[in-house]
This record gives sequence, structure tokens and C-alpha cells, in this order.
Amino acid sequence: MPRAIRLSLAVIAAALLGSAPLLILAAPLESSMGFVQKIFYFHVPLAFMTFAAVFVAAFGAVWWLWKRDPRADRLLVAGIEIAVLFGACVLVTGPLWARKAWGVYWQWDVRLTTTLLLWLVCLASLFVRRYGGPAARSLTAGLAIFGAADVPLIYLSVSIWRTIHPKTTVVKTLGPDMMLPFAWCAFGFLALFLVLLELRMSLEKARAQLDELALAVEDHLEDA
Amino acid sequence: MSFLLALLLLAADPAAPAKDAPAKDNEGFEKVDGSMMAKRGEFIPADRLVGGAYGFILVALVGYVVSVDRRNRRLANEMADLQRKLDGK
Repeated sequence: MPRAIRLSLAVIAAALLGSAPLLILAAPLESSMGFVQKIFYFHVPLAFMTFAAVFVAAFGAVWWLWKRDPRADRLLVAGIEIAVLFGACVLVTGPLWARKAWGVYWQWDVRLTTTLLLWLVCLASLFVRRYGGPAARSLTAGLAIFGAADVPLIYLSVSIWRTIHPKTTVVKTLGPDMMLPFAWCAFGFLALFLVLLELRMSLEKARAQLDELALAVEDHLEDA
Repeated sequence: MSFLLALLLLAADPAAPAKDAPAKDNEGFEKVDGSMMAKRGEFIPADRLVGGAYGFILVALVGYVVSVDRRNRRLANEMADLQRKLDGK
């Protein structure tokens, strides 16, 4: 792992694991949900970053389908993999919060169902990419675009339909003592997302270099 | 007379908000004093749910970073092997 990435990860870990829990514990309790509402401070920023990762992947997908640029493919794969990671965190922390707030882990609510659908599409993209054969890159790109189309639906679902999930206006109504830990976590996860994106893209770059080197070795052995 | 009756009914309306009741925003979070929450008692322990949520995130993120690092190292080793073959050693 490059030194700059290692250093960045250490700083982000200190911000998210060292300072964030203290800020979150110091934030006031919410009147109807109590202590379990503390999940909000990691759950919502992770959801935002899942959306960001899907949009980055979709950008890479369009770029790949248009120009067939290897950098686009790296962006696509990195974005999708991070979307699966962050999405899994959202889909696990949400039901844990719901268990206390709603009394059940899961409801087939529009927000929850469309989020699960997005995660499954991203997971399917990874499987297609791994086992899809020669057309895998383009198929993955198509799935990423399909996933990105689901994001506005997820975001707006709580405003369009009657749902049990809190509305998007919750963030705007936060008081300063709740907004500080939320903003801290949001910036922390944004930084983590960017560093993970760079780390994952460097892995794809190394893989491409390995393929080139393998071809060079084959040519060299044939000549010899 | 009917106007006076209507006025009396309005004044006695139990659904009318009390003058001193705090304004509540149904779409936002409302903060509360922590000691009051502790007195209520809990059937579902919130601390375990919060601990589980944060624990899962920690394990998932650390696991992912370790996984990418391992894949990177494996690729670096394979590249070093190929480079040695290419150099004819």
C-alpha cells in the first residue's frame, strides 16, 4: 500500500474512530428514539457515500462505453466495490436502528426496498465483472448505470410515498449539537471514500500492469 | 346567541393546543434530557444495537482495507516473479 494512502487512512481512522464516538456520545438524546438514534451519525453519511460511489461508477460506466478508456473501467470497478461495502453497512445499521425505533428489523417500505435493490444491482455488477467473460466490462457498465437510475428514486421515495422511514428534511432540522457530530462523520466518510477509491483504482492499475507483463513474458519465451 | 355558543365550544375544545406546550416538528429530531430517558426503562437494549451497528461498520471497513492490501501484495509478488522471468534469471 502506498505511504500516502496509509497515512491518509491513519488520519481518517483517528477522526472516525477516535473523535467521532466522543462527539456522538456528547450529542443530546433524541426524544422519541433515545440512545439508538446515535446510529444515525454513521448510517446517513454511509448512505450518502453509497450514492456517491454509485454515481462515480456510473460516470466510469458511461466513459467506458463511450471511449473504452481503461481509466474509466478502473473508476467503474472501484466505485461499484465501494458501493457494495458502504451499502452493506447501511443495510445492516438501518435494521438495527429500526429494531428499536419501529419494533421490527425490516419493513418492505419503499425506501428500504429500493436501497436493497440498489445493493443487489451493485453486487450483481461485481459478479458479472468477475465471471462474465469477455463482455464483462460492458455488462458491468450497463448494470452500474441501471443502479445509478435507482438513486434518485431512493432519495425521493420518502417524499413521494407515505413511508415509515424518516424524511430527508431531518438533516436540515438538526440542532447545532447534533449537526456537529453529523458533519464530522460526513466529512470523515467522504475522505474515507476518496482514499478507498484511490486505493482500489491503484489495485486495478497494478492488475493491468501484471497482464501486460505476462504478455511480455509470453512473447519473450516464444522468442527464446 | 349561536355565535356565543360557537365561541364557548371553541374555547372548550380539548384538541386545541395548550398554550405552554412545546412546538414539535414532526419531520425532525427533538432532543431531550438524557436522565429522563434512563428512567423510562427499555425492553430492547439500545446500547447493544448501537454497539452492533458500529462494530459491524468497523469490521467491514477494516476487513475491506486488509483485503485490498492483500490483493495488492499478491499482485506485487506475481509481478516480481514475472519480472525475474523476463530478466532471464
